[in-house]
Amino acid sequence: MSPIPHEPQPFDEILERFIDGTLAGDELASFERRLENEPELRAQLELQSRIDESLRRMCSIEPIPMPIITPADLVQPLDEDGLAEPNNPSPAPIPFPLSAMQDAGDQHQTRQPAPWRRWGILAAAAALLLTFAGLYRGYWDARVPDFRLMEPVAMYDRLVRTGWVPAVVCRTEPEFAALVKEKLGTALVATATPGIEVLGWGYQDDYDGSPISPGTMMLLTRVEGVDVLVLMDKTSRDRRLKPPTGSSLKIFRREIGPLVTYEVTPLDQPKVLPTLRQPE
Amino acid sequence: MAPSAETARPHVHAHASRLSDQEFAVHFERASRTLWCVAFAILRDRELSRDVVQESAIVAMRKLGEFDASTSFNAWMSQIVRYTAMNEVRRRSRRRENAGLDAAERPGSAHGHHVGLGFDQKLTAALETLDETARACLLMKIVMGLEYRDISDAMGIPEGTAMSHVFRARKALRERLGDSFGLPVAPPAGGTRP
Repeated sequence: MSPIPHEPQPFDEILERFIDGTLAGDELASFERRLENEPELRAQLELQSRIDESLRRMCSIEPIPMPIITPADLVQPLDEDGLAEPNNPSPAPIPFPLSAMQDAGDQHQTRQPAPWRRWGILAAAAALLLTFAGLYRGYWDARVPDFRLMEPVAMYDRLVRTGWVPAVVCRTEPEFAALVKEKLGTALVATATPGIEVLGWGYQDDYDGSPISPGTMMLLTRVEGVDVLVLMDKTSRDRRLKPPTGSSLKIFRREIGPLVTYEVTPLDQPKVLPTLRQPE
Repeated sequence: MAPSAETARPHVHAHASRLSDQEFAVHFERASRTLWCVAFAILRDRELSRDVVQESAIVAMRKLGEFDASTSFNAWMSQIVRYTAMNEVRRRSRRRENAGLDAAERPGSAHGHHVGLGFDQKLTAALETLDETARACLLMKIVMGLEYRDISDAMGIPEGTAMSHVFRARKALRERLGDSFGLPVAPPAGGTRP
């Protein structure tokens, strides 16, 4: 009885297996016979050898030694990605609720204290402020030891690099509103608008940081094919994000009730922020 | 976004074993050539890739406390090298924009036919038609001689995907360089890009 002939394998696949050295026994013998009889196969193999040889020559590299690292290298406040170090001795500004202080100041504007009392009041206010700031900072540090601030542009770039893929998707408007309410205490929805695709939420742990606070929500959207990032947080945690320098991205801000929203976009106008609203 | 019940991930820092600075240096030097392949796949410049790998070592040292030594060092470092290299690309692109240069004006552009070029130049141009992951996998396989499981580890992709990248990258290069061996040549404009 004659042996059952091998099913002929695709040309490239068998060549690849030969190059990788995974052909053996009958398959190898059969391939070697083909090599003798098929000039094109021989040429392909020769070509591949030449490619491999050139690549090895062009890309030969010796092991790279560790660079000399100075203490200053290790305490740099912001790295190239705009990441603040978690245990930096000079952390980025704490999101102190300045707006609340300004409001309080406005309410007391009509009453002028006597000049002799001003210094006392100022000293007491300063002491209170320092105490509060210290407590707030202590609370913040204890609560979020791993939190890193990340520049909004760096966050945008990371999301683009990782494929602009949301980690969490809300399928309905009530689901969307409920998630925002759960995270930020106030519901918010995006009005369906032609040309604007709301993809879902980024999960900041995937990106080692956040542009505002550990509670910032990151909404990934696409506006007529352009990736647009929307950040949402409580106004009390707002950091007043600055316009990016050295980037073509723009940042727009809008307050909606007790929430602050930012749009990080390559476009000249905010497209998603105007569609956000508190549900009725 | 704060984690919810459905999205909460295991906290990698809990009970994580740590690397000392000396252990890091040993791991780094051992992995440095593989890391160079990752950087070169993105930057396509030998010396710049070397610089980026060293810069990545500094970034990694800053974040060393976050690395769990029970996980893959190569995968962690490759990710840092990738980010650092991408930053470098962005910086360079900004500089080019400021200088009024267009990407198409760069020397060694992969587009178009390469009549009259030497084999190495054609190969360099053909390499540009591959995507970064395929290029990195190919270099790790051919230059470093890594096993697919090691490529998979360094690139953070399944072993089968690494194998497929190498297979398709080799095939694409052969198709582009076939004229040197009297073989049919693929069209120039990225038609067979894996």
